[in-house]
Amino acid sequence: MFAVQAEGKSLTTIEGMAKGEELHPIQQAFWDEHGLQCGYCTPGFIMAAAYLLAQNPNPTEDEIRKGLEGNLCRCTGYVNIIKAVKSAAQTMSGAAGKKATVAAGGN
Amino acid sequence: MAVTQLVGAKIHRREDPRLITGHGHYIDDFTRQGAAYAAFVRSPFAHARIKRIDITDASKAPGVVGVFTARDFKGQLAGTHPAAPAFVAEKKYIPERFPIAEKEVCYQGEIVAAVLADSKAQAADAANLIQVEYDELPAVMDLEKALDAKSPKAHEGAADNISWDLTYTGPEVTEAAFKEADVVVKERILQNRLAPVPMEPRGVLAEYETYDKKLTIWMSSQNPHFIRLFVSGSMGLKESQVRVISPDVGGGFGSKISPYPEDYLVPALSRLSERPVKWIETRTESMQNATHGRGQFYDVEVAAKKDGTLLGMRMTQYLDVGAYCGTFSAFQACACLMAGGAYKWKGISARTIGILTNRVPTDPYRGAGRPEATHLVERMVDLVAGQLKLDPVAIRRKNFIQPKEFPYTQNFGLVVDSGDYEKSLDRALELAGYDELRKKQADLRKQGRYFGIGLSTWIELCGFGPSAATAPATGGIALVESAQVRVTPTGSVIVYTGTHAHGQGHETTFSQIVADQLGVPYESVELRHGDTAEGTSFGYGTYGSRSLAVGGVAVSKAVGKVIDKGKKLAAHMLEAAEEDIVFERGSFHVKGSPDKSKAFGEVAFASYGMNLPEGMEQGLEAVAYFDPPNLVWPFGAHVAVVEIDAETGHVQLEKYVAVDDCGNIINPMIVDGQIHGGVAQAIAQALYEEVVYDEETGQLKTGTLLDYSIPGIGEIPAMSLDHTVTPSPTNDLGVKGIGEAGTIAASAAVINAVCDALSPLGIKHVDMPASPDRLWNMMKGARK
Ligand code: FES
Repeated sequence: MFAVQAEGKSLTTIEGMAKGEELHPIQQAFWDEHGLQCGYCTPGFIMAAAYLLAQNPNPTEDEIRKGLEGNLCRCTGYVNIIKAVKSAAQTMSGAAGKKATVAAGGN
Repeated sequence: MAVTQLVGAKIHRREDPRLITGHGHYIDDFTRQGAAYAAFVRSPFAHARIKRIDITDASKAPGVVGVFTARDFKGQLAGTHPAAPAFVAEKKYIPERFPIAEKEVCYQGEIVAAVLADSKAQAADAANLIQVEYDELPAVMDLEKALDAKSPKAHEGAADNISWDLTYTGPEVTEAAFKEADVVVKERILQNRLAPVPMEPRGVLAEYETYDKKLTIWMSSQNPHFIRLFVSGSMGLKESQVRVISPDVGGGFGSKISPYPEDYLVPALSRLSERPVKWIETRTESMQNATHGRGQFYDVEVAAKKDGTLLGMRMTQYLDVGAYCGTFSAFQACACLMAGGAYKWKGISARTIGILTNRVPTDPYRGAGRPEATHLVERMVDLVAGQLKLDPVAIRRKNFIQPKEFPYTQNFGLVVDSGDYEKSLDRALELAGYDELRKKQADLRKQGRYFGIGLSTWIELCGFGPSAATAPATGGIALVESAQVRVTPTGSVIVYTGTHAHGQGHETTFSQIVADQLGVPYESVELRHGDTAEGTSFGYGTYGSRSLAVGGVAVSKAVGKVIDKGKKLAAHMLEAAEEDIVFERGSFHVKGSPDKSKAFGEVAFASYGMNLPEGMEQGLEAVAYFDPPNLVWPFGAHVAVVEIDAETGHVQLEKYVAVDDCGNIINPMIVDGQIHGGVAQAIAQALYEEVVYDEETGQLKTGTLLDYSIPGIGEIPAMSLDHTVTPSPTNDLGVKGIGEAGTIAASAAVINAVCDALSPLGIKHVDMPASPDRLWNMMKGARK
C-alpha cells in the first residue's frame, strides 16, 4: 500500500497499539505465548492479527492460518503465533462486553 | 518477584515489551548525522573477467559523494578473507578473496564497484549508471564434473577445483565389517542448497572519526568480537580503536557469523569519505550474497547383519564450497564425524571433498553438518530396515549406544558425554500413538492411500568448545566463553556475556541463572551483550548451540567468584571464619546460626566501603572464562506422519512429535520455541526449499521469496513436544544446547515418513525437497 492511498483514512501502526504501559491484548498474548523470538516479524503479525480479529473475532485455527498467510516468520515455526492469536481472541471476546472497541488497525 | 526457583521456570521474556510495541532496535533503526549511503554494483555473471569499469556518468549523478572500485580500497584494506581450518586442518586451495573484485568475478553478486551518495535512492540510481564490461567465462556448477581434471576452473588459472580432500578414516577400518555383512545397502543422498533467510537482512553502519582515529560499526551480527578482530586487522587499526555494536538482530541462523565483504567495505568507505556510511542489504542481495548452507551430496554404503545389527559405513561427502572458502565452511565436514548417529558401529570410513564452484560460498547454516549427518544415518538405517523387513523402531533399539556405556568414545574418537536414546524414543512413540498409526496405515494402504510414518532418533554435538579442539580449528583462538559480573554498591547486578542472542532470549535466561545463584530479585539483574566496548575483552558469539552450554556456564562461574569474595567479606563482617560462612538464598550466614547473617545487598554495599578485611580491594565484580572439558551431546526422537496425495504428489504433514533432551532446562518456554523454529526450518528443507542456479550460466533462479519458498503459516503443522532430562556431565549447570536440535532432527523424520508412505510403490529413497513435482514424477514412474 502506498502512503497516498491512505489519504483521509485512519491508520494504526504497532506504535499505536498499547495505551501507555497497558499492552493491547494481542501484544500481551504474543508475550504470554512466546509468539516471537527475534521479533523482526512481530509488528507485522500483530497488526495482521488485529485486522483478522476485527473481521472475525473467533477464528478457528484454519482461519488464523488463512488470515495470516501474507506474513512470514523464520524463527517461531508459527506454532506460538497461532496460540497467541487464539488466546488474544479469547481475551478480547471476553473483554468485548466491558470495552466497546478493542481491535484497532486494518481499516 | 519473590526469590524462588527461577531456573526451570517459564519466565516471560524481558526482551519482548520492546519488540511487541515496535521499539526494538534493529540495524536499520540506526543512523548518524551526515551519513552517506552505499550501494554496490554486483556481477551479473557467475564467472567473468572484468574488462573495464566506466564510472563517468555515475560520478556526475545527483547526490553522489564518490564512486569506488577495487583500486581505491587497496590502501584501505589488507589481507584475504579468513578461512578457518575447522574440521579440515589442511586445505589444498583457498582462493584469495579481496572484498571487492578487481580482475575476475567468481559468483553472481560479487561486488565490483561501490557508490556513495547523500541518499539511499541516489546511491541506487547512480549504481545503475556504472558501466562494467565483462568477458564471460565458463561457470563451474556440477560437483562431479568439477572434479574432472578437464573441467573449467571456478578461478582462472587454478590447478583444479578442489579446496580440500581429506580422508578421516580409510576403507581399511571397515573391511572386517563389510566382510561379515549379510546385506550391504548403498545410496546417494542429496543435501539441497539452502538460503538461511533471516527476516532481517544484513546491514552495516560505520563511522570513522578521522581525528580520533576511532571506528564504530553498528551491524546485524551474531559475532561482534570476531568482526572487530577481522576488520581492525584488515584496516590496519588496533582492536582498541574499533568498536562493534550489534543491536537487536532479526534472525541469523548462521548467516551472520562470518565477516562479509560489506563489513570491510562500509568502514573503509567511511574512512575514505570522512562521513558515516550506511548500507542495508536488500532481499535479493541477501539471497545472492548471504552464505548458503548444505549444498552437498553423499555416497554411502552400510553393511549390516540379517538380524539388523549395523556393522560398518563407508561414506564420502561432496561439499559445494562455492566460489570462495567460507570462514567456517569446513565446519560442515563434521557431518562425517557424526555420521554414526546414535548407533554402535564396528567401523566407519569417511572422506570429505570440498569443491569450488561459481556459486555463493556455503558456510554454517542452522545445524551445519549435523543435519546432514542425521539425515544420512537415519535414512540409511531405514533403508537397511526396509531391505531386511524390520520395523524402523526395532532396528534402532537394537543398535543404540546404551545408557550404561556413556561416556562413549565413538568411531572418530569423540566422547559422547551422556544419553538415554531409548527413553526419548519410547516417549515419542507413546505421544505419537505409534502402534495405532501402523494400524491406520495398514487400513489406508488397503484403500490405496499413501500414508507414512517416519522416525529420527537424532544426536548432535554442540557447545563449541574445548580449547584443545577449537583453538587449532580457528587458527589460534579457543572458542571458550567469557563473562563479567558487576555488582553495584546498591546490589544490582550487571552481567556481560561474549555471546550475542538473535532471538534466543538470553537477556531472560541468563538473568534467571544469575538471580537464582545470587538469590537476588530477577529484576535487579541485567544482561548486556553485543557491544565490544563493554564487558570482557573478547567474546565468542552465538552459534553452534553454544551460548548456554559455554556462555551461560561462564556467567555462572563469574557469579561463583563474586560469591567467594562475598563470603570473605561476610566472614569479616560477622567476625567468623570464612570456612564457616554459608551462602544461601541471597544471604551469608554462619554455619549453624542462620540468624547471624548478612544479606547479599549489605555485603555488596560494604564492599565499596572502608571496613574490609586485610588486603581486600574494594568492589564486587569478577571475570570468568569457561573452557569446557568436552562438547555437549543433546539427543531426542522425532516422529513425522504424512499423507501424500496420489493425484498431485502433495505431502500433508498430519502430525509431528518431538521429544528432545537438552539436559537441564533453564526456561521450558524458550526451549520449546527453539524446537518449533528448528523443526520448521528442517521441514522447509525436506519439503519446500532449494536454492536453484541455472546449471549452464550460473544465474541464481531463486533470488526472491517468490521463487525461494520459505514456509508460511499454512505449511507448518501443529507439534506435540516433550522432553527427557539427562543432565550433561560436561558442565556444572548440566545443560546442553537446543538452538539447532529441531533442524538437526526433523528432515530425516519427514523424509523417512515420505519414503514409508511411498514404499508400496517400491520407492525406497526420495531426495529433498520432496516437492509435489518430484513426488508426482516418481509416483508416475513407479506405477508404470
Ligand atoms: S520472530 Fe524472528 S522472524 Fe518471526
